[in-house]
Amino acid sequence: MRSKIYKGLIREVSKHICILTLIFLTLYPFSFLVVSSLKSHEDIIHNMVGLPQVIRWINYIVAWKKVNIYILNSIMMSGATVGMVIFLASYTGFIFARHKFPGREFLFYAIIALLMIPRELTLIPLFIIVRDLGLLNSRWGCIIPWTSGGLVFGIFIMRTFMASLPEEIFESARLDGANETQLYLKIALPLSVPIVIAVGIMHFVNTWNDIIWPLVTITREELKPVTIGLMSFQAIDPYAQNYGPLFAGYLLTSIPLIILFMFTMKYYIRGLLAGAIKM
Amino acid sequence: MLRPFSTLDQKGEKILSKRDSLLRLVCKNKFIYISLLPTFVLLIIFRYYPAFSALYHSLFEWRGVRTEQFVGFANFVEMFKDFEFQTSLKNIAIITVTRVMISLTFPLLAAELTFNLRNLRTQYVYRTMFVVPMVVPVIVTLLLWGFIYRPDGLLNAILEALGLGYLCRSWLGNFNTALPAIIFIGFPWIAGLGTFAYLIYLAGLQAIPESLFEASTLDGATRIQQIFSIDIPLLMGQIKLILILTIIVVVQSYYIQLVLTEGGPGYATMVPGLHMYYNTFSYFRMGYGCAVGTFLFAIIFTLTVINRRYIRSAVEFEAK
Amino acid sequence: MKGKWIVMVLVVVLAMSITPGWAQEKTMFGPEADLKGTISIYARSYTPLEPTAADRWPPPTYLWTIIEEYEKIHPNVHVKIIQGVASGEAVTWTQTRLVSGTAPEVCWGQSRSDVYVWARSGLLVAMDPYLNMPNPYIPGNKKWIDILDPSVIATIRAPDGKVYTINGDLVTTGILYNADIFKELGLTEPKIWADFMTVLGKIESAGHIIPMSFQGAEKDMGWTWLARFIYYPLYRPLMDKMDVIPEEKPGLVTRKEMALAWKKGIETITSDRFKTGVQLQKEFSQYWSPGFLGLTASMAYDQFVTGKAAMHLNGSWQIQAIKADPYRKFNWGMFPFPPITSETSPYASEPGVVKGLTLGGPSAGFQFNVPVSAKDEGLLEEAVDFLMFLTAPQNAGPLIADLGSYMPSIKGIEPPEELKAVFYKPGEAEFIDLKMLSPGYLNGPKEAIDLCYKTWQLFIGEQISTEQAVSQWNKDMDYIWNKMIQESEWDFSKYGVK
Repeated sequence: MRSKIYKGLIREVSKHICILTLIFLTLYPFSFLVVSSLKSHEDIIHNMVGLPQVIRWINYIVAWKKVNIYILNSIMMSGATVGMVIFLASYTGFIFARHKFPGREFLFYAIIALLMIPRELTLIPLFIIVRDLGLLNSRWGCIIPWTSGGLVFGIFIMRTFMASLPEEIFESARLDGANETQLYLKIALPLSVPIVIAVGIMHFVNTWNDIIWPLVTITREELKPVTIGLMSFQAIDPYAQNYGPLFAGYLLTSIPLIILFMFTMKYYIRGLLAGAIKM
Repeated sequence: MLRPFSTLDQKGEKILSKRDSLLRLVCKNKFIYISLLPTFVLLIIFRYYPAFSALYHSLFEWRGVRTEQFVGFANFVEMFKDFEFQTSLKNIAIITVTRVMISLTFPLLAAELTFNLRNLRTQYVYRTMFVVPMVVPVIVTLLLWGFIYRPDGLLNAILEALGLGYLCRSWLGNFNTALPAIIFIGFPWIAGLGTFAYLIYLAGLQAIPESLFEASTLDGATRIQQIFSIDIPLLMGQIKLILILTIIVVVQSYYIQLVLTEGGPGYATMVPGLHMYYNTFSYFRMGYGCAVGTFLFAIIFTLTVINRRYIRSAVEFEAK
Repeated sequence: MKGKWIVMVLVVVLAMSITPGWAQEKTMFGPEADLKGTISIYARSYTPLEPTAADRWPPPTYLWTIIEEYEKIHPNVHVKIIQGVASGEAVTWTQTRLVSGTAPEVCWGQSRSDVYVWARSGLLVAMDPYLNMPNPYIPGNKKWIDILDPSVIATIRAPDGKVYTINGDLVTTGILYNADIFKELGLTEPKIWADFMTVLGKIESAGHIIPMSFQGAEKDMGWTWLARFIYYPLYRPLMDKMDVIPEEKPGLVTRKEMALAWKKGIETITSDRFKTGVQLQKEFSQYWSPGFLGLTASMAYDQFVTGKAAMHLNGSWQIQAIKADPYRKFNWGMFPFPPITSETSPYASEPGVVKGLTLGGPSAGFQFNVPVSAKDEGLLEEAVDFLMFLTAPQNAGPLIADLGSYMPSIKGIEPPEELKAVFYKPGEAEFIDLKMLSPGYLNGPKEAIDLCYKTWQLFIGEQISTEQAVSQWNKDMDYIWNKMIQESEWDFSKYGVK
């Protein structure tokens, strides 16, 4: 009996040790980032691993002046595309899931086929199209292609989820005289909130992190989102880099995502689970 | 309970169409078609058309503005003969295999460890800490690792502190360490760099009914045995999904190399996507770039078709 | 009676109109001139900034002082400073403004490349007429051009023979070195390549410090700089054979002349002369930091300033950083690049007549052009007058010293004491660019240049042999020169080549 408890304790402790090691390895680079963001440039270069000789809060102020535009742009662009994707994907998925109409299967498989087309194949013609539409160097030049990309996965997910909802709910509502739009708005949508949030978060994060597309379409400084904005922040004066404010800038651009995750993690996990539970 | 397709599938349609003509059906459903229109317009303009345009233009010498010139398969021939491209193939194969192995092991390990904790609050805390790299924009992680790899950077400083000074080197500047260094970015590879694998596995584990565990414990199975007999089989759907998604993403990605090494030193970190990028946006050879893109598409398509069964099962059993 | 008066008046009027400039000079420029309007200036590196606590070193502020004084002299003129243009976007920004006719009236511009293009498109005002007038802000000055360095003027003269840029400073490059290490090992600043190799060797055998950190990851500041330092001494003896096109500024070997030399086969890549340069690079590289192909200029500098490397090749702008570093623990100095001499190779120039080499020249901060749009707005006189004021040594001197990155090229300015030791005295170092423009490959087709660069990386990283590298370069350089000839539409038929 005692050895069993003993064994159990060892197991638990070793689990914790393993996890803590992994967590330490995961977080150490970022703690380095935090510590370095409070140093002056020379302090970083001469004293890379140690604690700041002088704590420089001013780095954050200087960085903020530079990166607030980028953060604003990213929020606007990613927010817009997520809104569009959620709107379009949810009702499209609903239609595909719960209605019969000619060509439904064909159209749906056509959408799935798009999943297999890699981003890089379409990159060049997409660039030409966006250029010819005059959307280069504009936020919409990013938002619309992003939306079309997110729609594919989004419709796929929403359709699968909505198809799995029990028919009875809809039947009873139809009997009560509800029309299709009401079925969508009052039943399907509320039930799929966790999924919608999960899809929304994934799309938000993917577009927030997109490097290549903004890189080739946006060159005007005031429109740059976080990803390429930070690259140009670093390159402001290649002969006179200033890593302190640069690192502070990196951390500042993480804040929106931190906030997003803090508020939505619960729903996101629920969304991931919701799919699985429907076994 | 799984709602099978069958009540909504072809059979149902077939029965209907015997009575109503196709045209009447279309008219009846015109509201549906109209509401689907915006979506499909977007998809056609920004997804379908570019895809076909790329395949088409891969047969041309095209500079994006001036006139095109049909060259047949010349682009492809040139591509396969090009030393830079050949090296990029070798590199991307190495990268893909290793990163796939990584994405199937480390996040899963972390998910298992987190899942097996008794205290739910501790679970929550650890999970949050693991997920920290995901809130940092990918570009920041990249630039941070670029900094870590500097000859005077964090990695070398740590090695020296551990007395392993002889291992210090310019990680991204040496021909034999550049590619491994790129692959190593993100260590310990649990979250971040845009991958949701850890959370997906964790959710999958949490979805396993408690009853299964209870039953197997009663049968005398240890936790380790359970992992192999219960957890992994039931996570197959997620695992296969992560596998296919990782392959698709990694084979074509090049942003890490673009930001950190530009394919160098020499061609040590060149990958097909980067080859395409430079040829398109630095040298303005759009036709050739489309050829590289077409090639990547062929690779991904082949790999996906091979795994098609797995996608189907992942689709039917989970929402992810 | 009346007739005589009329004739006298006519004579006076005639005399006044026949002596152009005399009347104009009095009132057109200078403190007495009647100028009004608002002009803007884009001063790039000299743009004054408010210092913040996060700065690594104090930013320049002297331009504000100059403008203040100027506006006191001319109360009806207001000078506006353009702020906020990022250093890396300077050229694009300027180009866009010039093309759309909204450029600032006093506008920075990199001479010899962009300026020529802009001048050819008719976007800039030729400054020659004004350069031949006296500068009223300099007491005793007969012609404005007298205070400007003649070799600089020769270099920046555009292909059409006119001067579009008013140039006041020079950027220099050199080798920064750790004076304490040198003292410890009993070393002195090497004057020629052979000594340089000796010094490097001694530092290496001392063991605890890298002889030189080199920025192998930099296409421009690494690869091409190295090539220019090494090939210039080897090719200088051939300069007379190359400098054959009379329209192309005698005394300066231009890209066109180099293309011609290539076609004539005066020098080739497969020659021993070239291979000597290649070998010398290889020999040099053994003293560099390990993994130098991954070092950017910034990283290489960091290695130097933290004491890990004894020497570092960089530009004069780096002096600000090194002066301002509170953690630097050693004394430093800078010497120009020791040239290859006949002690090292028979292809190089004679011994004894050596000056240290420096890259750079009139592409620093004090290069100002006047756009044609200034004329249209009636602000041309204001712009030129301000430039005259700006270039007066009593103003330009403190301005250039305030920034502290560049060497003044205006006569009558003494560099500040602390920089004197660092900035070579005029004539002490040889500006490569004033004699031979950089080989054209930087302006050639990009894919070929990138290929040359990769070949170099593979070669110097010991992945391919000298023979392989040379044959690859031969192919690529041929392509580059031919492409350049084709695109610039140079006709060499009268020199006997196709």
